[in-house]
Amino acid sequence: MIAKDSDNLSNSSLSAWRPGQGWLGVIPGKTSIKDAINGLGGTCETAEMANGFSFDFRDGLIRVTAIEQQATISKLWISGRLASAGIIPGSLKSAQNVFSNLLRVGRDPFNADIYESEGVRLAAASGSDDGDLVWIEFLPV
Amino acid sequence: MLQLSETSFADSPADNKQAQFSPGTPDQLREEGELCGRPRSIERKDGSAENKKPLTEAQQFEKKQGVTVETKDGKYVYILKLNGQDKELLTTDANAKGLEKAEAELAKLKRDKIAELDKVFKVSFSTDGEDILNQWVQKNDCSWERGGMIKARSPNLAELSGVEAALYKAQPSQMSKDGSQGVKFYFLTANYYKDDVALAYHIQQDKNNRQAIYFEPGANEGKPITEKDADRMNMHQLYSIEAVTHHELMHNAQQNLNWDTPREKEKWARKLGWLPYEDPNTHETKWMFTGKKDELYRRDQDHCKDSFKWCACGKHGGLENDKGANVAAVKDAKQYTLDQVRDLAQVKPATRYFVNPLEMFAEGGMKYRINEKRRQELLQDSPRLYDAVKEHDQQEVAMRYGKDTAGTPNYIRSVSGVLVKNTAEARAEVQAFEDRIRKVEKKK
Repeated sequence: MIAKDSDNLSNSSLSAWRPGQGWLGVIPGKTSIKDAINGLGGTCETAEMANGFSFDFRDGLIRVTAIEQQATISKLWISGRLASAGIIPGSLKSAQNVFSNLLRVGRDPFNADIYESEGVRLAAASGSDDGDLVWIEFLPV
Repeated sequence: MLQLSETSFADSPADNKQAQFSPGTPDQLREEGELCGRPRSIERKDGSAENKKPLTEAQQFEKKQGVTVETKDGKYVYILKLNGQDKELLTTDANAKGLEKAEAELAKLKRDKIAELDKVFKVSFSTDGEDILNQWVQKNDCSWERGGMIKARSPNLAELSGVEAALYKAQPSQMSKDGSQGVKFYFLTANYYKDDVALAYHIQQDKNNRQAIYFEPGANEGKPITEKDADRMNMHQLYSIEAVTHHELMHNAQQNLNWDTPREKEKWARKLGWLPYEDPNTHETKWMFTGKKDELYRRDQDHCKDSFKWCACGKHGGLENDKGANVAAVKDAKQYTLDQVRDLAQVKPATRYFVNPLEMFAEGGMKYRINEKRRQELLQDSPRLYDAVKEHDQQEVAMRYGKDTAGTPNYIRSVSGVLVKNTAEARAEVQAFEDRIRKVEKKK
């Protein structure tokens, strides 16, 4: 089942997030493409990638991808702009409270700092130690 | 005459002077990401301190202030080389007291210019000694740690002039997405990434939640202020301060037009021949670049300390060797130089700096806006890039300055780069320019 907006950060279960748990009820590597699409609202824009497909929801602020002809989704991407709706943490420090062991691994083409921990990758605006979340990805474990 | 380009950073006055004051040869820098990237293989080649002659007081003054100091009739004349002309700012006695007096006068000019740019464009500038943030340092095991606090300095008059030249042609890209304020320009006294060579970075959100541009230490030393100056001084292989500012403001435009979502980014990237690909191991989105015969190239590295290489790849993104077989490592893949990839590209990059679609687009935008000559070069060299950049630019202009009741944008960008009212005459001027270039290209 896919969670709704009401399943937001105030949900106590989030403080105990574990790798492989996914987000919004979508578990990369486990949730089928069909279930992910239905759960995220049903309506989406589809585009082809070199090795798979992407499905965009909410005007492109949420995306799931499926690669290499697998029936399950390979990644869930969420824009930092949805932090204001309480769907994801709003800043690096609040993300560190939810996802343990985040380590900086590089930067994205917009110079946002990329942090990773098992099952999650996120980018935070780089101009301060507690930059806004720019995007977050949930990955298979 | 004292000129930075002749003496300040030279290992040996007999060597090629233009290469000496740049951190690495210009070709290498443009290849590996001088502007916004983090090149791996380039070391600064401006020589060690031991090799340099100590700077005279006047030379130190030139380096700090960005003006040329010439001695005429026993006096120091302070010259700003701007827009293809020598602008004499003031004259003082040719001694330390004269330099002191000049510094005070230039400080006043700077203050006035900063106030003017704030008023006209809503932009602001870092001040001397201002804290920015702690430096990033990459360790040998590829992990990262914070280093010391990076302090800012205020811009000198040359930098303010270069930024100003860009702002007149780049507007409205200096504004934040909500239109409430302009970007802040920071001038760093230590590199943003330790040991990395770059000129500048666009920052989505600075310490005060403002969109910003960081100029790296030494990025503007000895550089032409505008592209016109670059042509005049035969230094067009270097980025002028104006060009760097344009490039970074294009990134600001990208942020304002929602390139932070994969959907928007890919929409523009596809117009330039870039295709997204998800690495099946890491699930990172990477980019493949399309060649004229639909062959594909990808830029990658095996280790964080390796330099990036352009490699052949298959239609699913996997690296390929010279026999077309899949290989796992960059070192085993068929490799290309960036010039080869640029020549083979379906959509030719505007410059040699095209490490990803964002940078290729920013370079195209820089050439589109900077002046008629550069816009002509862009249209001649890469009409598809020109069209994409023009569409993007018009979208941003319409977003900021609106459309009339019939849905026609109120403003368009003239051939010179300045925004003008969207009249029939203005449109005809642009059309005539484009028709002329396209016709010539067709005949070739």
